[in-house]
Amino acid sequence: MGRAKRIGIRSRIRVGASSSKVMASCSLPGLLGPDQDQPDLLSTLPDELLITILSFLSTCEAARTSILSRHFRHLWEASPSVHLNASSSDKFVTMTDRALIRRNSPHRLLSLHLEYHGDLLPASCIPSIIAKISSLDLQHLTIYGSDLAPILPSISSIIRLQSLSLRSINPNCIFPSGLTLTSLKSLFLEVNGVDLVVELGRFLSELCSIEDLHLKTYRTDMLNFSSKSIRKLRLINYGPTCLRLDTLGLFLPSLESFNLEIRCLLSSIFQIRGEFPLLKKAVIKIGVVQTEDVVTRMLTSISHVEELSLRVKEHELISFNPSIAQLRALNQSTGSYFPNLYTPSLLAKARSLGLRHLIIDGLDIRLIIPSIFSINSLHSLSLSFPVLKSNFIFPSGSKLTCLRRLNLDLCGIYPIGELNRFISELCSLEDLHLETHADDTLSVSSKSIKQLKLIIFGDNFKLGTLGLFLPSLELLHMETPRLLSSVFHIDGEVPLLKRAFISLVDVHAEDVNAVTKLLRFISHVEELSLRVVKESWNEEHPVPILLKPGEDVSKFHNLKLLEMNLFVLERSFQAVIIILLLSLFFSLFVTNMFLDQNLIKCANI
Amino acid sequence: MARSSTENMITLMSSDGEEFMVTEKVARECTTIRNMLEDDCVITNIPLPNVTSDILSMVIEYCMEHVAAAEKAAAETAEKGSSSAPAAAKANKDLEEWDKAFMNVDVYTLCDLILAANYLNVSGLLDLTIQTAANLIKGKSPEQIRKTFHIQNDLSLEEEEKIRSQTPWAFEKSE
Repeated sequence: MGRAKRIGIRSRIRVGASSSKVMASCSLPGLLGPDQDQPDLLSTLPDELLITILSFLSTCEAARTSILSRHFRHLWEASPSVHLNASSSDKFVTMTDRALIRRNSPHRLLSLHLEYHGDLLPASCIPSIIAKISSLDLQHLTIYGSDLAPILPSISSIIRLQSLSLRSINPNCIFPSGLTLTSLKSLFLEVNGVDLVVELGRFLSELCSIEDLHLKTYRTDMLNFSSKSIRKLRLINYGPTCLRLDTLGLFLPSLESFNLEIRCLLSSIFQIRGEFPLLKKAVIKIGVVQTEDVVTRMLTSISHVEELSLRVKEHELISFNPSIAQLRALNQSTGSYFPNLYTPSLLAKARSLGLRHLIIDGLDIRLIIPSIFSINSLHSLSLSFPVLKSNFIFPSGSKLTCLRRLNLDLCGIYPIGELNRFISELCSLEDLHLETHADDTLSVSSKSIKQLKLIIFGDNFKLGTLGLFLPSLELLHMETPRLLSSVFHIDGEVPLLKRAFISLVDVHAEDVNAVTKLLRFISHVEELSLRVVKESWNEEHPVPILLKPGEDVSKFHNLKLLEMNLFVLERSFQAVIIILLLSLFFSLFVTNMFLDQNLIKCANI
Repeated sequence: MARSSTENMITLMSSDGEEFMVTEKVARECTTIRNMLEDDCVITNIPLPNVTSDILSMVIEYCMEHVAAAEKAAAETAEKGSSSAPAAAKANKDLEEWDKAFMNVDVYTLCDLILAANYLNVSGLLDLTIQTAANLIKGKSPEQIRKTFHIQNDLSLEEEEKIRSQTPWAFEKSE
């Protein structure tokens, strides 16, 4: 009984809420008259709740509420969070003066965020800021500024501090003692100075409760630190690739999760020294290495992890720093190429480690594809292929029995049938993300795929036949430019499809039949999002009617949510689109009594 | 764990007298109710005089969804020994989307939900509703905020000018 009653009430509320939302989001004049005598419920909330709401805002926005009404006048000053962000020193000084230094509220300040992008601060304001910060009993402190040297020493007096974020720490900074910060659990540091390595190591070893460390360093050739309490470490070295990193000394007996990102060159003698007996998860992202042994050594030092992700993103580095391109040219002139990380021996190592997630981007991997597909522990795999040739043969996918997620970015002309054979061999695949040029025919068949994201690109192709034989598919995301041919045909079955996102570009009147076929194929969905991107519609190419009222719309029996976004840049055709939307809106309401939630959004018109 | 797994049903009664049967696990999402149950473990009928039936049904809907999501994650972890990161991330994203859709309500319902979440002490729902209210204030001019929440301005022009002059940086156009 109780259950039935509850559901009845719930649907009543939802229908009411959603229909008013439809009106509001269309925001057409005349549909929604302004109500005059609506009571002000917000101001009746207890002050402590209002103050909590204001604490989610930046101090600038919270202070703006002071003129809403008499009730709101001083509320913002009681917020437990002060969040100031300024780009000029004048503004920063007046803001900190009013919101921080002259703060006079019985409520405790828990969180302080100071962000300053600009010239050097006037020296006169710094002592009062420091004095105030030291006197506060903060839990969370964030300071992003151009020079933290004057402020850094005072931090050791905030003994209740739980989290601390500091950017940027320059060579002239001196770390305070960490011994007093006994509550500090989470620390983010961005360090620029080369000479700070020793200082930093001393500071970190003094923090007795620190569990989560996020360290960003710029110029350093070695990095050493130890801590008994750190469980989670994220280490980013973003130095230019002309610098090299030789040693990473990490003595972290409690470490469980390790996220390492190195953008600079790993020299041939690079090694990780240290011990992490409890390490469970490692994510490693590296740029350029001098020899492949470096990676093998690195993997060996963490060989007991349960979960490992490895990512190499070479092309990003090339655009990031021209010296890579020079280095590449140098290597080519001496006859050798970049060391290829993914040699069969390395992949054999990865296989023995039970690699779960592998992302490879920007390397020529054609030769080692068989080795990749023999790592049968893989759960997720993301590959971006270089230009494929027509004689390319996909390996057998039958060994990858654990693979659930696959992300393929394919380029070039290759036998489409081969791809389909490969995908159908992956027996556990649930989530497929496929970016490809299309031939005349594209077919995907799999018994296990639940989610498919299909991005078809290219200017010269027109897709003739699309085959989707996916009995388990629940979510379809399809993006295609205008390449549906006039004899477009869709084949297959997607009986369990619930949600579909279709994005089309440049739909003209002659494409409507193809689009209709596509929409009919998925007409049993519960949620449909249709997005049409077009730079302009003009009189020769008027807005095509994609869903004809009464005819095709009524086929969507299960539809609960329809979202249509039409992106048009020329404003003069607004009217046409609104008429189209309205006719759609009403036809959905009138012809289909099963709809209880029609959400129609007009975006960017 | 073993004690609560026997699916005890609890009846919650709203201010307007409607009764809602929920499992003990769902009811325990409300810290206020959990404390009552811990003080007196035989209690099965809890009157909630501060919450109307419309709002209570939404609070229960929220708690049921979050209990179901937590159970599903726990089952998956138990099945495979450890949870796979992408699957957990996806489940989190799904729940976030659900929360987002759940917050598709008018400002009155939102204010009532804030009060109910505060009274029943459902920390997840309180955070969600407070964040939603803050998002409705973010990026709006004072006039737009008043319109959104139907706030009557009882300040005179002079008073308003005086307040503006105290924090001029809050009323600049940029940022």
